[in-house]
Amino acid sequence: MKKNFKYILCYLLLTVCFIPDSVMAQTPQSRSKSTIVADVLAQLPADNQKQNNQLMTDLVSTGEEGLLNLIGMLNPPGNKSNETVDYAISAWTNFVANDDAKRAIASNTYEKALGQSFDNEIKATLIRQLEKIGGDNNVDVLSTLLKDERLAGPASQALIQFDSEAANVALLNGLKNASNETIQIQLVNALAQTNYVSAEPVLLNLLGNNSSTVLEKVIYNALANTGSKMSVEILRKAAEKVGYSYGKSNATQTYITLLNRLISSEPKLVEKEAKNLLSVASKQKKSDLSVAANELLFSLPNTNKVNLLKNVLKTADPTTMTNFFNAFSFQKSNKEMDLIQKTLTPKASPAVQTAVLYSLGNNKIASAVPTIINYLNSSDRMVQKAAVTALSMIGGDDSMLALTGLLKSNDDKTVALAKEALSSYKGDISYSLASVFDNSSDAGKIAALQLIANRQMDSQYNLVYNQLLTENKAVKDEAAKTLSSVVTDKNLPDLFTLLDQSDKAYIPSIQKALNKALSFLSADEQLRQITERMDKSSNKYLYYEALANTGSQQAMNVLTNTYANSTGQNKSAAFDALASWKSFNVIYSLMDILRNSTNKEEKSRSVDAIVSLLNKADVTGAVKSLYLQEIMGFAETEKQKNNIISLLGNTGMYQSLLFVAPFMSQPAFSESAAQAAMNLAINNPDFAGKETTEILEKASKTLKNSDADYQRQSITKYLNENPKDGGYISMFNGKNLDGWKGLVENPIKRSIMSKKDLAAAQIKADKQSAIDWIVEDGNIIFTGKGFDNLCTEKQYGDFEMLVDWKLYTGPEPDAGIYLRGTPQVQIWDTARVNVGAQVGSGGLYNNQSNPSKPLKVADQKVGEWNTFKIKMVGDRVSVWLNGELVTDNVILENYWDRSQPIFPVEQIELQAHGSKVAYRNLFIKEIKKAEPFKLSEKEEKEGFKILFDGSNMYSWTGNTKDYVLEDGNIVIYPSQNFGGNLYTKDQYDNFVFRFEFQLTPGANNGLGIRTPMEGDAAYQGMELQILDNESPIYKDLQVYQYHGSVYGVIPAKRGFLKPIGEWNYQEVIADGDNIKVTLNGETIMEGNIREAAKTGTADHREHPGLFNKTGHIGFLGHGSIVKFRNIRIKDLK
Amino acid sequence: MTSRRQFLKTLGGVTLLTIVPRNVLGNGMIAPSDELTKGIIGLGGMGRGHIGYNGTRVVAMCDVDKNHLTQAAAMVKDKINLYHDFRDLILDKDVDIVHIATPPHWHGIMAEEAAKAGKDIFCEKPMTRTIGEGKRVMEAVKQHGNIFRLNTWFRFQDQFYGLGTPVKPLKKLVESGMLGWPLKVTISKHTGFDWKFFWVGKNHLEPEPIPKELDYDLWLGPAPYKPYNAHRVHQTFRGYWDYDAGGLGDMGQHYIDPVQYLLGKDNTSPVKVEVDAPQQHPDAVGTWRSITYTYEDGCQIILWGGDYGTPETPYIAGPKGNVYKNFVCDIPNWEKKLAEYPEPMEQNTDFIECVHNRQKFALNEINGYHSATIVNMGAVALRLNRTLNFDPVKQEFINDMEANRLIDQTNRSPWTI
Repeated sequence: MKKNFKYILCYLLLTVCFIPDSVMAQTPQSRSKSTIVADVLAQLPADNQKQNNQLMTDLVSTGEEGLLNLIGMLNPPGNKSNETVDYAISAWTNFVANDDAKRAIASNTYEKALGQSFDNEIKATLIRQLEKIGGDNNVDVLSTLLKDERLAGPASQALIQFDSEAANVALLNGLKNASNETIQIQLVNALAQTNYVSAEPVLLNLLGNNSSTVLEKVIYNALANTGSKMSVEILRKAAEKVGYSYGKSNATQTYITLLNRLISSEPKLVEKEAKNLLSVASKQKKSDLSVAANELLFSLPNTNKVNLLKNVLKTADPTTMTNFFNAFSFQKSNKEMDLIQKTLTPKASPAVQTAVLYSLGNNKIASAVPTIINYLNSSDRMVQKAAVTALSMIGGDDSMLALTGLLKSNDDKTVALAKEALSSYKGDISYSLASVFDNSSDAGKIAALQLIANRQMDSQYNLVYNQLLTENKAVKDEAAKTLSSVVTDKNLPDLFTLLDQSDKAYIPSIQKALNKALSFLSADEQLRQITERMDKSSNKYLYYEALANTGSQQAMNVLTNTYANSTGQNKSAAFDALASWKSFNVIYSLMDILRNSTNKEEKSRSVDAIVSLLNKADVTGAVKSLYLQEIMGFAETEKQKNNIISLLGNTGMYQSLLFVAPFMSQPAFSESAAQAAMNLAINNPDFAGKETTEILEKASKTLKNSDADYQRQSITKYLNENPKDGGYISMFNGKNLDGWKGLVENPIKRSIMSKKDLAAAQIKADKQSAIDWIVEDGNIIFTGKGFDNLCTEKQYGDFEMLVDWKLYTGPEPDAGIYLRGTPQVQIWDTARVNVGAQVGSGGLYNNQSNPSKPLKVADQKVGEWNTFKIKMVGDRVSVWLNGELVTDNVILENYWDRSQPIFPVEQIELQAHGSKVAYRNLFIKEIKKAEPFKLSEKEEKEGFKILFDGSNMYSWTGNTKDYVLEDGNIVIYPSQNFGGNLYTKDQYDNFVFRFEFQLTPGANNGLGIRTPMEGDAAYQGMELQILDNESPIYKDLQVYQYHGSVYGVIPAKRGFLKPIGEWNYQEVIADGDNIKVTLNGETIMEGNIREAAKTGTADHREHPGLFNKTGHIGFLGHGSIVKFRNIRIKDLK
Repeated sequence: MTSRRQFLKTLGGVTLLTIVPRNVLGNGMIAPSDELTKGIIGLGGMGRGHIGYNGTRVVAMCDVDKNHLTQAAAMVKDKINLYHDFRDLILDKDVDIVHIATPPHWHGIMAEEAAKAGKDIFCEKPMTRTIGEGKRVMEAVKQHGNIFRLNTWFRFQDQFYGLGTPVKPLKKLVESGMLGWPLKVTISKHTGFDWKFFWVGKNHLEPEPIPKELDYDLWLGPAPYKPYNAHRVHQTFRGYWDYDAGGLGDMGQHYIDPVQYLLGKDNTSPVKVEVDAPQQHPDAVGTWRSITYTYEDGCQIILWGGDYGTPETPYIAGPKGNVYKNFVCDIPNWEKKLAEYPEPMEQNTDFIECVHNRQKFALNEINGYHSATIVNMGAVALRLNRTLNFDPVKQEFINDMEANRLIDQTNRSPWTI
């Protein structure tokens, strides 16, 4: 399972992204059938439909031999796994199901195999294949299996599915010859699932013979499904025996089923029996029986349906009536409809009234509306509800008026029913509401106002406004709430007046209405109207909320200033307005208030406002996490803390995971913390490792909610699929600077210092760093003086690192992270436009030929926390600032000596740049690195030089975007700019070039030599083909296109590539006009280009660059994934 | 003792409503003396979780695993009747409502048997494990006039997963026509739904001894006989096609039923289902990339498994507007425009009231059958790994013998439906 799962995953990954559709398995022609079967098994289950079809076409082409081969691989349960064979057999069956010829081959093969000696469970598996695709050809073999106690079940079930005379005969013969009751039961039960009428005599005969209750039950059932009138009496008697009630024998039901089957063939008999059943039902007061009997009668062709209806109406049983009404589409018949309507009388029982009312409504009988209206005020709630529902289903003006009329009622429940019905009324109810409004009860008025609000009827503004002037408090309160739903900008003058004059209690509603009315105007116009009005008002604070609602920077400045510089009502209203601000840019003001306010309530409300802001804001999880971590320190109530924890759970940050985990131990927060931790980890396989495993194991034990079992399953799955060890490790213990040291010179200078000098310099540097770098509140802080970086004691190669940082306001805020001892991932204040800092932080500042600026500005304001994720692999660096990718796999240049690539391992440094800066949450995950390739002693002696050792791509240039460094290889992942080439920086004329490469199915690339960096290397230089020429898609290649050929000029020998997925070793010797290619030890191409081109090239095309003296060596991409490694070269003099 | 409904029944319909105090009906407010009684079949996690459901009193329980039964009995204070064979529970005169909380391969047979016995039915999702069984249940309920409730509820209550809202306002938006027609609904991680791919089976199960407390033969019931392994039963049965359909079976009806309601497809079925998935193991449920259903009018329901698909996808895509996760709509001023439309028709959401007035519950055997059919069509297409065409009138696949054989899977003796 595990292995298989990984296999699927890896397959998915590969194919979803890269394998071109046309490239599949190898062609079957040349392979033996067993090889084809083996090849297909290795690739199952396929990763997409197309591949599946290709594989199955191959597999099915092996016919009987191949299928028998597969079947032979099946192991009985408990022995070896059948994992892939199961897939193959099942897929085979499915694949041929709708192809008559192929299906016949498959089913005949299964049949053949069933005749051989296999374990019974394997046979059951084969029978299940026949159950899916078998037919009359297979009846014989299945018949013989009916004698076997274990296999009679599956075999008979397969036969049922054939649904043919031959299969039914086989079942019946099997039953006749059955040697014991176990088999009899299986066969009778099978016959019950057919409709094979000839079974009846045999079944009846069997019934006489002292059958057990189980056998009896299955016989009854089989008779119900296959029997004729001959069985009616027997089943009736059986039903009678159990008093026509439910029993394990199922007698009553089988009797009814049989009668249903006989409706068209034996109408008279059925009528007689059904009437009998009906009278039993009525005597026993069994509505379920009565429904069944009436259904039978109703289905009979010649029944007098009117009489039947009359009888049903007489029963006055709601179950019987309701079911009959549902079956009876009586709206087409006036006579029957009248009958039903007539049943609806005040004298009828509420149950009958209810049933009839619902049926009138369900059938939308418009003419019934006047009658239904009479029941709207029934004292019986169920009847009343039925009447209201019926009107609401029928609709129309009369219904609406009647329902509106209910608003006059003093009964709250009546009003509630009416309101519910009116809310779904399809049409304009506004005028009707207005006309009854004055005569409505208070409850009715409130309901009317709510309906006005729900449908936002601005036509009723005056009605609502007038209620604000009444003395009826309940109605007035509701009107105030309704106001915002009916206003437009036309009502602004009214609203401004109301705002200045109303009771305090109504202010919030009026403000809401004002905001709504303002929303019809542009932001500028809103601001203009508000300020104009505000200037005149003595209660300026009343307008702050509207001001906030404009969302403009100008409004924010006004409010922030008012908050800072005023007192009392104005200050608190300014605070309220800021707290209700909708866009994220208010965060800085709110954080300032939270950090500096001395008002406890204000602080608490700031926390709520920030939580709500972060909940809605369209900012990254990283940004949310930073603020949430900080405000947790200010949160006071359990609810606030739980909210914060839950939100942290959606941030996708490792820092959040570590932050919430400890809360699992506090009962008040354990559940939200466990859920948050689970969310964070499960959605991020990246976090897997020792720490995360411990947290998840704890979460699994902690979770208690109703979905906890599901959640534990997810946790288990995550832990099974991801590494339990390793992962991020903390670089900072939060207390002191253990693990860190001072800076001594740069790596190059350090490397030439003597041990003694270095030790002395280190002591000095450590002394200095202890002065300039301090630990405070869990942060590492550089106090701001000097330029001495803080360095890790450990050296790092490839890694992923997390670090939060914060600049402080001051003259020139600046800092950075040195990677492998080299500057730097830039940190600075974006306000410093004089030094170009407006591009933002996170760029590789000192790069000269590679990008040095970040892709976008993602900084938070100076004084706020920011967070980096930095990934460095080989010489490539990616940086995410606050969750945004700002540096995308860019080469970090060696600042200390630009003629060298970046150091393979070195320390990480926190930069000191003369301004105060804080760091926290430092984590690192080291990425295992392939050992760099080293030349053999022999090659070293011979003068080979390394062009690529797996650690950097320093010798290469050109398309370094699609050609990436991965696991010590150069891999091309073709992107939109498809086919861009990678070249050596240097040029070579005569040389020995050795390298290894690995192909994917159908892959196509090329090795350019003596080529310029522009144009098609095959013509402007020379291209030595790199190609999976074994792939079926290339079967029509010209020889001069084979792998290793000088493209278009000199052909190569085919057949020496290693299988897909293995490394090939190739040597290319270019010595003047002589070119030689050796692949995996075999010389596949050797020739003289001048001679080859003497009488024109093989492809009859011009090759102007063929005789270039020198040029670059390049990999010429063709849209396929190919890997290269261990590349070295020797110049030939 | 005689249960309320039994008592009412024996008095006959006429008197039914005169003895029930009117004011206590509706809104689930049933006085203790009027409490309907319930018998639960299947007391694994699901059944035990539902013991405390409102408005009914548990009087009987049934399970083929003695441990389940003992554990569940300990959760109830009153003395209750315990059964091993579900038919004995159905026969129990004290039981008004049969609550089916077994694995899905039993739902069809149990619902049919309960219907025959004249009991009302409360059935956990998915309604049945095959299309054919769903049809039988629908027929049986019609034939006996029972009230049937399928237990998923998102079409009428609670926040609907990633939409962060109940379905009602979504229904209103769809009904308003503001999004245009036809609509395409995508149910995926990106729109706020998780297909729970941890419900996958193991494709190599070693036979194990059957535990003493478990009647494995009765647990299997109609399903094909396969040697016992603990992974087949109890918490992990969803990973096997014989009993369920993995995450699709588990969550399918929860997620799809409200969509069927939204699209107004309660009485029909899609005409086509396409799958993009690896070949499924014949026994063990695996994962899949996508399942696409198309209705005759062009509406589509698309299921994306795991991480498949793109995050920008709308939950509902229409020619005139889209709705995204968290009920974000891209029509300018949509909330204001929508307010002018009527609310969707109220649904019958009070099961107890439905039992009393014999009206169909909001999610009943008919619309429940149709949403289960969407799930089961998907399962068939996955198992066969091909596109299937479906005839919504005949309720069968077109020109595909093998697919049609999966509509009515055969039942192991002595069980039939």
